[in-house]
Amino acid sequence: MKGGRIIWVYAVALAIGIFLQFDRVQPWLSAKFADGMPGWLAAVVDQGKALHQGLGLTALGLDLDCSTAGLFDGTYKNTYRCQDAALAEAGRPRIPGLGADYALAAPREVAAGENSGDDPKTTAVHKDKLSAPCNVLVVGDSLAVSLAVSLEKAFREYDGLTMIPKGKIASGLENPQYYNWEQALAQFVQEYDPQLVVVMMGANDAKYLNLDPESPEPVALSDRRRSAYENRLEKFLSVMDERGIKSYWIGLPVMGDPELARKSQALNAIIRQACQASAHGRFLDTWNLLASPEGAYSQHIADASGHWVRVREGDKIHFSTAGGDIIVKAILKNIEENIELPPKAVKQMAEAPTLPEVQKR
Amino acid sequence: MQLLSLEFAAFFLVVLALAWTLRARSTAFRLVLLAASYIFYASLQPAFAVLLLAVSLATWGAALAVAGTPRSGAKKALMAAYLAVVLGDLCFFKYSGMIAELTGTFPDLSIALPLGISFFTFQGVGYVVDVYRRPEELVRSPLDVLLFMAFFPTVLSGPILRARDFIPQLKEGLQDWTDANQAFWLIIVGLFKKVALSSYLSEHVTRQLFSYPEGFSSLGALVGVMAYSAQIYCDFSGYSDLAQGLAGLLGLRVPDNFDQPYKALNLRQFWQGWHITLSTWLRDYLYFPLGGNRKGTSRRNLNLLVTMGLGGLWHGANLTFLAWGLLHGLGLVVTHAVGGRIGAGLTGFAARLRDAAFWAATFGFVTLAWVFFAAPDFGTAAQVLLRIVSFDSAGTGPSLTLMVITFGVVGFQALRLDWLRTCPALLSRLPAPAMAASLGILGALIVRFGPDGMLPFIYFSF
Repeated sequence: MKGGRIIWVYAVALAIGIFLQFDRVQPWLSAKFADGMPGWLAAVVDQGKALHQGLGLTALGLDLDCSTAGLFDGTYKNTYRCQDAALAEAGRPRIPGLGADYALAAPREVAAGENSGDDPKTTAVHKDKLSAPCNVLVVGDSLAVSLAVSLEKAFREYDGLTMIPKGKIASGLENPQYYNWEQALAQFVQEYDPQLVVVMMGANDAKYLNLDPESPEPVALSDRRRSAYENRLEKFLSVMDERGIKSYWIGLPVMGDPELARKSQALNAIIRQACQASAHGRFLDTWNLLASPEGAYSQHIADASGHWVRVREGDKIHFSTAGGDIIVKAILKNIEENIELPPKAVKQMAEAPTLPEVQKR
Repeated sequence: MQLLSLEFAAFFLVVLALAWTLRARSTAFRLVLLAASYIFYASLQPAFAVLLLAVSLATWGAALAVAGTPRSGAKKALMAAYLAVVLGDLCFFKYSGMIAELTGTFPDLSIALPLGISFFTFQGVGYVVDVYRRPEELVRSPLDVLLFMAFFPTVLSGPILRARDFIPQLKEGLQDWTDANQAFWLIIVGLFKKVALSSYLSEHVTRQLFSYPEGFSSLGALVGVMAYSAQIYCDFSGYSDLAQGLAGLLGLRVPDNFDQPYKALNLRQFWQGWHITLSTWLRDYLYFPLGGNRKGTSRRNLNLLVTMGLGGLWHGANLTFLAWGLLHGLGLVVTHAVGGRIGAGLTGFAARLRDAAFWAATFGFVTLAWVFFAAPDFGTAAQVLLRIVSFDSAGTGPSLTLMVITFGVVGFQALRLDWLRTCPALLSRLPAPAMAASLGILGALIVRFGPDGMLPFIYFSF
């Protein structure tokens, strides 16, 4: 084969592959431009999208995804795209058996007095303590995926707590075209009827923040990027608020890269503020939980018995299982305010329901 | 720029066009590939591109010095100095965390691991040792050595190249390239293994199993560890296929790394088909220098254990990797001791039954050994094994899709795969537009059945 033919075949095959996957390429492309695509590129993308839809490829891809959704678990595929609204956007009728109940549920009845008083959340915590059986939904990025492992271990010690892990690697609120957390959360809430949601997300979002160079403390600039993020955050929290579901947002721990650490601190501040403004959201600070005694990033820390334990992964972002266990201990201390945590009897532990047995609504 | 990304696909198109335009002009061709290699590496870890450059220059300089030194003592001293520098560098980056954890006194340096350090270090060591043994293999051009060390399709996860095979190809000045059809086919096969199969197995069973084994039933755990056997094969051989395919499109041959390893009837056969470029590296640069099998049975057994133990530790800074390596070392000692004696005289159906038993024993051993490879610590490994033998039906069981993929990947290797070799030939019979369309559609279908989002390669962290 001549070199020219090799280049030609590769280029055309790549172009065909990209066009056939245009519904996936578009989100990828959008994520590359923090402040929107340049005009000429946006025009090309619009034309590509129109052609893709016009040839029926968007609908065909969605049909394929939705009809094979049963083969895949968790967040492996973006199955929320099979909801009515997404199907309508692609010009397709609803797929039977999928998305039938995905319309927003009516808000759950709020307990009398829950929202009265100066500090509604504190009042709610004590007057509306959840008791088993209780479904706990865990959502977020890869940090939530790791956290779910430690949470599942911890929950086995208590009676009636069932964890539903729905983390999505590489996701965040910054790029809803890659994974739309607002839609996905609405789907999960409807599907599993959780009484509590644990959120850990932001490792992929923090890097997009622009920091205020004038401020001595890490603070995000009040720019378009921040405003878009805050809007998505508010909508995300409102999915739970509208249904009266309590949520804990687990803040980011200290990061190894100094720049990412500063941005993560700024993001934590934004999320803390949004949680305070929401009816049922609470923010849990984990910044120093995995840090050295001086408050700096550390790969290892000494545990209670003085044993040297690795708490972070090599990428200096994720935590190890031991690190996850430390965070979960802190979470449990806090959620005890909201949920009865009766220790499980030894005999009952052996008979504990497992994940596939979670009752779906 | 991840290898499985659109950025890389577009980047590779530019490199491909430049490389073939300049293919006849050897220096320009090599400069393009070197620049592409460093752009690729720096896009992942900019700071460590300097480390890669430093190790490469040290390798080039050490080989020059070793080849130019006639006295045996001085040569040995130079060799030792080079090994101390590059292996010390590998140990510092890779094992300082483990030493800190084990001793509790070593300072925690919290260093990130440079991508591909184990691979490019072994490549460099292999080349300098070759020059030490045969000075005529010296490569004087720093450009060639730098490119050999940093070649972008292989720098992150191999296959581990040998300078004597790779560098002469850089000067061939090809006009035609008959292996291009094979290269396109390998890219499709590699994508399928990695994107469709390995990702599925990782996200549907193995990650959960090795994080929280108690959540699995005994059958679920058993199928889960078999799924890990399938996953690591698809992940790593998929990467090797991609590396071979990408290099092949540039007109360069990269050695095979896998040859139906799960078809093996004993551990020796397994290692002849699994990570071939590492197992031959360990044989040539560690096992033989230790004396191989030339110094009696006891010494051979010790050499096998040392080689496999260090080979295990090469994979990761964790004692579980050492245990995995030692288990294989022990298995090889037993294989050498009994090899060929059991059922040697059997024929016909009895021989087939014997082979089936050997296959089951070999695959079972390899699969159970993977538990130590995949588990983050000995406690988790023990929990996984205990779940399997607890005969407990409570917990997550295997799904039908999972079993079909797992047994499909393993069973497929037991088949005669000669017919697969005809696929590239079939591609070559198509006119260029039909060939491009077929590849584009196949690639898009594979990606469609992959996860929405991408997962890392297991071997990148090594």
